[in-house]
Amino acid sequence: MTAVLSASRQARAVAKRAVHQLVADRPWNVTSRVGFVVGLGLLFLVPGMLLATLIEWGSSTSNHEVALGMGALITMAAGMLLVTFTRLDEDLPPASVFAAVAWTWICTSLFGALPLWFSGALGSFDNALFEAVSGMTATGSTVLSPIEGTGRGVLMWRQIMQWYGGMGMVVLAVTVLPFLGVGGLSLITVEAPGPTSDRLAPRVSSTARRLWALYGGITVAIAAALMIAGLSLYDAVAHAFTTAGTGGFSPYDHSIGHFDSAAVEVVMIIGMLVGGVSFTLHWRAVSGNPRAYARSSEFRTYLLALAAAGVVMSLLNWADDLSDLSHSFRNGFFGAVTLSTSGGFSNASDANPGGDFAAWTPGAQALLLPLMVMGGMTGSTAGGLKVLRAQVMAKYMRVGLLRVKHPQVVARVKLGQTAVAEPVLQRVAGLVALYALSALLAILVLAALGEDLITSSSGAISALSNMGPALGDAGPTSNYLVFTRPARGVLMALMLIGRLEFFAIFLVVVSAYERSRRLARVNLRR
Amino acid sequence: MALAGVSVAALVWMVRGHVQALWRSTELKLYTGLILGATALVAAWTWTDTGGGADTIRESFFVVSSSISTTGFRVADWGHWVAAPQILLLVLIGMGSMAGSPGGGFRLLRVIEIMGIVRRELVMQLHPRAVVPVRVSGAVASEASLTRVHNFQILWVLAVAFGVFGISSLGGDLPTAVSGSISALATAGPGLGDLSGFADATVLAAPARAMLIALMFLGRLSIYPVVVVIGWGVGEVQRMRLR
Repeated sequence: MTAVLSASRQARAVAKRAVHQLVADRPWNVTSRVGFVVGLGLLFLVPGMLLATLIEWGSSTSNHEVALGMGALITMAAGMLLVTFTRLDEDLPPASVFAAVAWTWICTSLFGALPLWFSGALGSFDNALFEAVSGMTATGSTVLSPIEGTGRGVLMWRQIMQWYGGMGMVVLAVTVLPFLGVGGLSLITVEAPGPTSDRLAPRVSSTARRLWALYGGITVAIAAALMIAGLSLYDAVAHAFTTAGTGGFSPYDHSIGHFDSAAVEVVMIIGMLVGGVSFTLHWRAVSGNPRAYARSSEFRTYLLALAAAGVVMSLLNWADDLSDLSHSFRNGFFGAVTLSTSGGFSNASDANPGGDFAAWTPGAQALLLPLMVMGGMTGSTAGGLKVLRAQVMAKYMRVGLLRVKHPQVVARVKLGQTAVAEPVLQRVAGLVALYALSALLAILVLAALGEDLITSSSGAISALSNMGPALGDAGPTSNYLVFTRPARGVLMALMLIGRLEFFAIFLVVVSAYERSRRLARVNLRR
Repeated sequence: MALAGVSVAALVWMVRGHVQALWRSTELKLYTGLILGATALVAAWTWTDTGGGADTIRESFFVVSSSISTTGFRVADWGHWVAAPQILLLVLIGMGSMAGSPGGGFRLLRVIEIMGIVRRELVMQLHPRAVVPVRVSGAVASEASLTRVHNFQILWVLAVAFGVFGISSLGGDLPTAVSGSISALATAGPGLGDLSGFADATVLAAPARAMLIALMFLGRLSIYPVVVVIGWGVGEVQRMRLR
């Protein structure tokens, strides 16, 4: 056996060397780092696809196992090809890290769409791609209608995609983005120093292994709690996948409202909260320092904001006679948590119509939008601008006002005991400005494509924050088929832009532009 | 109205014939471009609804200048238009006129500075050690002025958010609350939803109108003086208590 293995390894090494010789110094071998990372990402998808295939094969309701299996095979082949024929350099300039991150999400979405497309559940390829982008970015907007009646394996693949999306996000948020200092994210180390190293590659691989064990453990715990709350194994696992990744897909048309159970909703609320908290904090708590939570000012702010928003929204809805007091509080808190952690589940059902936040009173809806924009904690699976940035901006504003009043004052923004440097503040503010500009532009484009004011503005914010449902026509009991086909394309781009903290997607464009400018300059000199 | 939205400095240049200074002003170029571009877009979007022809272009030009200069005269009932021109007009009202003009809004100078900041962030992510200045009209904007823009941006968004929450919990629907807050803060007037077209603010309940009064004050005084005065008042009260 070992002889066979070593022989095959040797054969692979020979083949690899031969191909490297062949393509050395050729123009198509320039993006080796990006190709390698994308290939790894694709290979990660294969076990999930195979699991979905197995479930589809075992279920009696439909038989799309061939479609799912084909998707798995094609993805595996593409991943193997990329990993074999490219290599990862030790030296990783920021431009190629950004490119690798952006292309990984784009390509995993493309390949993740294959099983959905082959199964024919969504009709055209663009719908399958929308569903896959919504899955890989852990957003939760769906164009699958009706959801029930589709094969169980196909549905499980949607859930698994969001789990993968959350998994990728954890590593991205804890290691890669702070390393690059995206939007002032180097601040994380002030609040909660994680496992660090000077170089990116060893840092990612060692941290990833630990974080994924943690992420897997949390998923198992949620699944077990859901089973205790009365769900079947399939339902518990399916919802645990999307709760840990704060995704929002559900195999039922009525989402969590299908169960209409307070116990299930409480488990989901706790599960989403755990997903919306920094995984660095979780890691420190697990490794024997549970006081890390209490010491993090971001964590305290986050819980306080959620509790305040939950109470106010519940009272507003209750005062508006939307439902009785107990249901108002149940819906208010479920809504606050599902929107701020960018989950996007809905607990609305025929017995509890007050769970549909698109039907809430305008005052409560006006609180939902800021929650969506704020999102969860840095280093979590949640989307949005993140609590830490909101905190820093609030402090920045107070210092600014102090400077207006006393122009000669020396005032600094402090986070805990550490003063935050001015350039870091500028970066946070720059990201907020980038968010505002992109949201404004997106709202205009969506409106130009035919949506009304509330649908286009909430849809754009929801997609940028990776939330899922929006207000207006695209509420939690509706789906994204209300958007026109081009508008859905715009939303796909927004989801990717928001998930990768804006910079990755924009920088791929900027660096391509820079490269073309440089080429043009060289040509001119000639 | 379009002229009233131009800064006084630029008007002086126009009178004295300083063509070069006018040409150098990024803000004036953006202002002119926005008026022309928005007029074209609004005319195109409302072409079939309003019958097309010269009347549509005239109406669009009027509405766009009235919005961007935050004058607020009404000539068409835009509540019946499709959503896109309505939102564009709201964005124009929010951005407002040139700094140093009698108009209100966020001011185009600040918009230019914010776009410069965003551009700088993008370049600095790729080249972390680069020194990228933010230029306005060819001159480098100081770091202190950029910090002020950031702070103003946060204050502005917060003021709108408070307005939206206040008005919507006092009985206005969401489009009315959002557009009403932005329009009041920009000191323009017309909005969307219940406030669109020729509607006046009596469609809102009295407490919601009081919110609009506060927002108009905040907007006209560029927020800072009001906040500083309130902060000073709160501080005085605390000091009196301590005594």
